[in-house]
Amino acid sequence: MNDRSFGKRLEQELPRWQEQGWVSAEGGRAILADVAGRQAKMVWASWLAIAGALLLGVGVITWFAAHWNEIGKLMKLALIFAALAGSHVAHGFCLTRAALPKLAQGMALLSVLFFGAAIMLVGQIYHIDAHFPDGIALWAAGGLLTAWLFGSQPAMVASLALAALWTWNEQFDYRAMNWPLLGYLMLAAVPLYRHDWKIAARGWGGLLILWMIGWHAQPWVGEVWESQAHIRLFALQVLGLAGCWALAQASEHPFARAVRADFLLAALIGAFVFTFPDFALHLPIPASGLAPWLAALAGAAALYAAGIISLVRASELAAIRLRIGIALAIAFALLLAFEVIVPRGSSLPALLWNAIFLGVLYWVGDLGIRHGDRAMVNRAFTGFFIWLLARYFDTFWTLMDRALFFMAGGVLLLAVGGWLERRRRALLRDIESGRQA
Amino acid sequence: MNLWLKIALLVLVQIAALAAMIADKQWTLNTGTPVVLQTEPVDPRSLFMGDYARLNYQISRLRLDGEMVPGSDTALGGDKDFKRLDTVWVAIRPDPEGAKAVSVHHQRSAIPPGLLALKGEIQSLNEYEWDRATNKSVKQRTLNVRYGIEQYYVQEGTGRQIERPSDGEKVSIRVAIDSRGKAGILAVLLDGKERYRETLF
Repeated sequence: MNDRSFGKRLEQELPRWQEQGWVSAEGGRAILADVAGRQAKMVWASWLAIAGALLLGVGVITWFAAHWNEIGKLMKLALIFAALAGSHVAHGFCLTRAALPKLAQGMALLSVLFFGAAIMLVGQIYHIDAHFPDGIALWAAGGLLTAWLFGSQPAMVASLALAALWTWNEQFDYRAMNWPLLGYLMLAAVPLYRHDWKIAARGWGGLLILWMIGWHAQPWVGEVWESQAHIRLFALQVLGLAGCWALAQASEHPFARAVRADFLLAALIGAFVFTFPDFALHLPIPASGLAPWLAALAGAAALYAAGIISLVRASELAAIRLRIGIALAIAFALLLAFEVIVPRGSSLPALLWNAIFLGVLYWVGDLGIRHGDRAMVNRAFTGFFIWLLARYFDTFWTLMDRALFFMAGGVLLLAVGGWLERRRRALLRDIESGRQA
Repeated sequence: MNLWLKIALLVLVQIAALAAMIADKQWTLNTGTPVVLQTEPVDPRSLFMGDYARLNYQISRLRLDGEMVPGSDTALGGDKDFKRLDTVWVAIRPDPEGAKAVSVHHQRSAIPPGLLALKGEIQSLNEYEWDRATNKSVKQRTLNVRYGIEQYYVQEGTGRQIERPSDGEKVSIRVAIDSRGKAGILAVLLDGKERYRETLF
């Protein structure tokens, strides 16, 4: 638990402890004041260290740039290597001699920046004009090694951001699949599994989703608004992501807890897209050869099944709720399999998707209430609100006069939005009081 | 593992990665076959490009087929079906006055014997070219190819002299092409005389 959450938790718990007579009112105030003071100092120290590292990094780079022509090649190399080694040594010094762990994190981040500067400067000195994303990949790998060896979350976040830039360049600019990123993700998962790094873990999940979106930029899938191959690929990705979410939801490991919210959001967005009646209708280029798609479907379905089985095993829900959940999970997978195998010829699948989407939202909200997970409840309510808005536009846009459409829509939004917000707040209050009890 | 051992390992690995970049380049320069390439003027420099010269070679534009613009090189042999960002292999015939591209292929194995193989990446394809003599656009398929020798870092303020030489001055580049088809700049020549020469240190 980080310092801020610890402080909030204490604020909630202390009144009850005082009622029980375990802590005096004065003692409670002193504890809160102490935690609040420590919290502020740590946050400021941390931000100042990181800002200082960034400023120093930028300053050193610009200084090199300004004096570059006056320095010989050998001296340039010596400077680059010394700066790189110096940032690592400074990290070690902050940790061991000066006992400044936050500043050490800033130094770890600085060393990642220096490594990037070193790559660019060596490229400049020796006129190396290679495939641009390779340089970013090397930089990301250096950052990953730094994060791994030093146990540094800022270095890991920097490395993940670089890996995102790398895969963006490869997949969207060069339109080539970035398979090596899978190796990077696997390696990055090791320190994330060992440390409780929430921000970096969410960055890891985001990077995986970005890589999956990048598949749609590949020439072999065809033009986005023309080829049915995109629909098949999309359905498989939604199934795979839902499987990843189920696996993460079943685990209590901090890494799984951090990434599951984004996987759930991505899977819900995927399901929502399928609820549109006109989605994927009349695509001129049919996807060729069903066999490879069926093989991919089997793989994604295996992942999904493993996730759902883990979730069922870890679940403490009553039998009836569990059965509803399993039925929804099966229907969700069957509809996705249908999208892969049969090209859309009518709006009937969209009708079924709407029913499944609402069912899944209800189930997610229910699960959130039972687990005391505010994020899941918020997602379920937001999803329902967006779904309602989309269906209103779908249904009445062509039927009503524009002015009437907007007036009715406004009234509907105000009424439903107000009601939903009141329900959401009531549920969150129940969750909080359940926690305290 | 001890913290200082970790630091030593990290320093070693990162410096080894940087040294590998330099070694790879030096290997090309030391083992490659020297070839002189003629340059062509480029557009004015970008604000972001700072102190390096952008080099544009005669072999950067490969004319595949169509109505040839009078005075331009003849159409190249080899493959014709290319798309943007494809890797291409260009057959190069060395010439003291400037190497010539002979043909362009998807595969290295298709390079005719006796010619050097240079690896490149297609930056863009043009279907038409402007004929200045007739002031008309003529149909001509052209590949714009990048070989990784298009940037040369120079002393501040001297990049423009290489990019856009004054009247009558001729800039050519001596490059080395290694057995992998990679090229590296050995020297910059102004009117055939070495202006800049690459050294390891």
